[in-house]
Amino acid sequence: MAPQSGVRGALRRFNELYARFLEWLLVFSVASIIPPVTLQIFARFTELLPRYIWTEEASRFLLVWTVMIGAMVAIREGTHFNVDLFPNLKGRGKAAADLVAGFFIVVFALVFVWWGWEFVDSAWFRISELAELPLWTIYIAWPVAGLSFLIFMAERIWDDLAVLTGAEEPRA
Amino acid sequence: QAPVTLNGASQFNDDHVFNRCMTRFEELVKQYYGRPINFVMHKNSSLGLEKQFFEYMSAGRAVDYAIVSPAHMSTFSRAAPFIDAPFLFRDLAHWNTVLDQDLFKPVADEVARRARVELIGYAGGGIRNIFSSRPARNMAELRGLRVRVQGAPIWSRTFQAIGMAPQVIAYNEVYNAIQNNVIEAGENEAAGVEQMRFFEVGPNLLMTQHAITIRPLCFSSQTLARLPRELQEAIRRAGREAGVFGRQTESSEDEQKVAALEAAGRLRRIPFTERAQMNAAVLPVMAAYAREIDAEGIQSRINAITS
Amino acid sequence: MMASTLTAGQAAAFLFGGFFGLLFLRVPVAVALGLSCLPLLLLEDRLWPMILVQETFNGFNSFILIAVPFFLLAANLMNIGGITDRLVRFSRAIVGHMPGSLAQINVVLSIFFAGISGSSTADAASQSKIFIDAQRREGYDDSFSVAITAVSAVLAVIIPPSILMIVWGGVLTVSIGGLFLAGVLPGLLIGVAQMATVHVYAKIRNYPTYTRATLREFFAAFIVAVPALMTPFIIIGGKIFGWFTATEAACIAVLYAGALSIFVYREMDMKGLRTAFMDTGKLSGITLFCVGTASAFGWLLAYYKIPEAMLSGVIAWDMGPVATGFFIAGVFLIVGCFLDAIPAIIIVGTILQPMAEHAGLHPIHFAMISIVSLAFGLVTPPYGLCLMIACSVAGIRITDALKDTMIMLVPMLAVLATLIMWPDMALLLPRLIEPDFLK
Ligand code: NA
Ligand code: NA
Repeated sequence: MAPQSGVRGALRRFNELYARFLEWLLVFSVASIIPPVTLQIFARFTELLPRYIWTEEASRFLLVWTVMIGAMVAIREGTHFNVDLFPNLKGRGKAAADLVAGFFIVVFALVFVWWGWEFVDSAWFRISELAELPLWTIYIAWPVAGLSFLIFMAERIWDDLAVLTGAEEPRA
Repeated sequence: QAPVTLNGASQFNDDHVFNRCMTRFEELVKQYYGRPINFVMHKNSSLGLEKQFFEYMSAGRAVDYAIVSPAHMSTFSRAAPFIDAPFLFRDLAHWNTVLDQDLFKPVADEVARRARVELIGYAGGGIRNIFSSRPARNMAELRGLRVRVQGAPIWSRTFQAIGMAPQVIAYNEVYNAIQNNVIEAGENEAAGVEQMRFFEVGPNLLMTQHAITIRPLCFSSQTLARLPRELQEAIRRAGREAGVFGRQTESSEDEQKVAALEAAGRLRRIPFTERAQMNAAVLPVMAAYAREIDAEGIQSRINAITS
Repeated sequence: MMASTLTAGQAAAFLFGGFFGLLFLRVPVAVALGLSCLPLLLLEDRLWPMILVQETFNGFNSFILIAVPFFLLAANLMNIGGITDRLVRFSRAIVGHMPGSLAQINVVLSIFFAGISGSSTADAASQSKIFIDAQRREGYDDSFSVAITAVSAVLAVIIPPSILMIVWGGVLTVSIGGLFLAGVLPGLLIGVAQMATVHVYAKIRNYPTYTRATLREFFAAFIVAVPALMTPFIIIGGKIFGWFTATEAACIAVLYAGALSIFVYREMDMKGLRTAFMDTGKLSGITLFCVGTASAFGWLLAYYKIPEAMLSGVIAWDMGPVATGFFIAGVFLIVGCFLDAIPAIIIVGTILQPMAEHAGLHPIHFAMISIVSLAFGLVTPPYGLCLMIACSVAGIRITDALKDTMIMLVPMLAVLATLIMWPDMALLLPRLIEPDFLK
């Protein structure tokens, strides 16, 4: 359906693999929230389980990562909530409108990359309150998300441009 | 040139002693500086929680001054929560002496260096007790009490050492958790018990007096550096004095609040008879903690005070 | 050098102009909320765009939000593991002969769920996964299924326990126990109003009914469903006996649904399990990502004290209690279109309080009017999380579900109007059960 050669094909193949990797990471991150919360509940009833105080914080941080990975995948799949006031757009009109919206998503992604990095940079030597984890391991999710938004958007924008210039038929 | 505008932040409303303390700070700055200056107070958690105020002060943006619990400075400085650790003070007089002698200066210096936030005054003075759904008068009765503690390791370690079963629960789930008997108790000063209506679910106030709060009035170092020298001096002086004002106010009102709740029949004070045994139980934990964060010197000076 | 460069009015123009402009250009809601903050963060001397990053982090970094992926995962496991099927079959045996039965069950389950959880987002996510597909298979219109799932989810924050009431009680120092009692009657009445709406819809649109089940069919369905039926009981029981908090209950639901699907009904395989986790992550991701950028948006509203500026003159209008009640409801209904309920309480509730006091509204009555109005905001676009979730699960556009949602809101608004004019809807139960809470 799409050209599989050159830079564009390589980008598509890379994104395909990267998205699949993120999906697996997502499965893992959702699953990883369960053990600390379970531990927190059951430790209340038995002396056999240690009563750690980091369970609450660890589960929050895993939630943060889950949300950020989920948001990256959603950019690739175009599933972020949208109030579409022009549901009947088709073909080149739709490509043009998608390009406009895509431009703003790119700006948003750049904010996440640039100031997300500053966010990480402010936390190199800081550790979390309970689990004593280095804070950058959580904050890094922002620049990573920004970069992921960018490479996923690059593929979409490329496709839209091809439709707009008439080089390709719109994908179904 | 337009007058300087400074932004303050608070989790509480105007009635709360922290807000009154910061209002006093603003009045004093105006008085000592003698030139026009604007203060904007963002109250009721509208800009977030104390932890976030501290991060913004550290970045030198958005928030310039706020009262912040030392526990929330721990991501910058591991020693900071020591200022507000439990079982540090014998009584209010002891606590006052420690603050008058500025014994926490080394910690404040570390915070200033690592977070770029100056602790310009010390408010606080709330006595923390345990509010509980069941009464407990001594160590034996405290045994196994499922109590929610603050999110800093020293709190859960000391409470565990006493024989209680400390739990980690988000602050806004505490009310529900006690109501449903997931936990039996929490611990807070009178202002917190009143604000969050904890007495509705935990009407027994176990008078353990395990902590007396210290709540530094903080000011962003980066903002401070940008201000005219006379204003900087006015701010430091006003901060110190507003802190004293806040301390006097809270420590006197703390007792009044509890008495009022008790008179209204909403709270029962349960005397705690084994405070000496309780202190003995936490002694090794506190010593280990002080060693861990390099605060042994301060700790021994605090303990050496005879008042 | 340190003065605000912008006034509250200018800041409001940037925020709302940016938000609506970007939505118009088909930018996703979460991105539009975040990007409309950008001009202010760049222009204002004392602010900078890292606040957008920091506030989104603060938005996600909440233990209570963990209930969202957990209840969603529980629902996914129940669907894939065959629990839902058995529950639906059993409920069909009980009420299947009534018009619109499946949709009625949708409402009733939300009422039960409301008694467990304080989170509407979690309810909307999990029930969308359970009901929308089931209702589709039985011939209900998608827009109807989406609308009823979304509007019934708002009950979770009206019927106690409710996270909104806890926040309200803490911020405005009102008895939380009193608010819990006050929420029961309005919550049940809204539930009844929704069931009546479903009934009328089912009659007009001829939604399927089944022949009344025989006693034998009833018992057969019951026996098969017993372990599945235990799910709500374990969760409710756990709360009654004090085993776990509301958020932890969500985790227990996951463990139980997982164990049931794998060991008892044995309809779950590795692929199903993987799909359940992945779907959970995807939907939680887009939902909570919105919460993050919305909290940055709310943070800027608060920084510029925009609600304060807009409402500053209103107290001088000197309205009576009923007019004030309607005004407050109106404000929160509008605010609910942009903000999450919790920031709305913090930012707007505190500003409206003196007005309510001036008009002589009882603090608990004021709180209930506000909380019910804010709950409705969960289904009003552009920022109506429950509606967006249900649409996303059904794979339809928000604009397509809008009409049915608005129709269903009408009887709910009638209940709200009654609540405003008849304070006892909120105050009766607290007065009878715990008069102390009213003080
Ligand atoms: Na429902
Ligand atoms: Na509820």
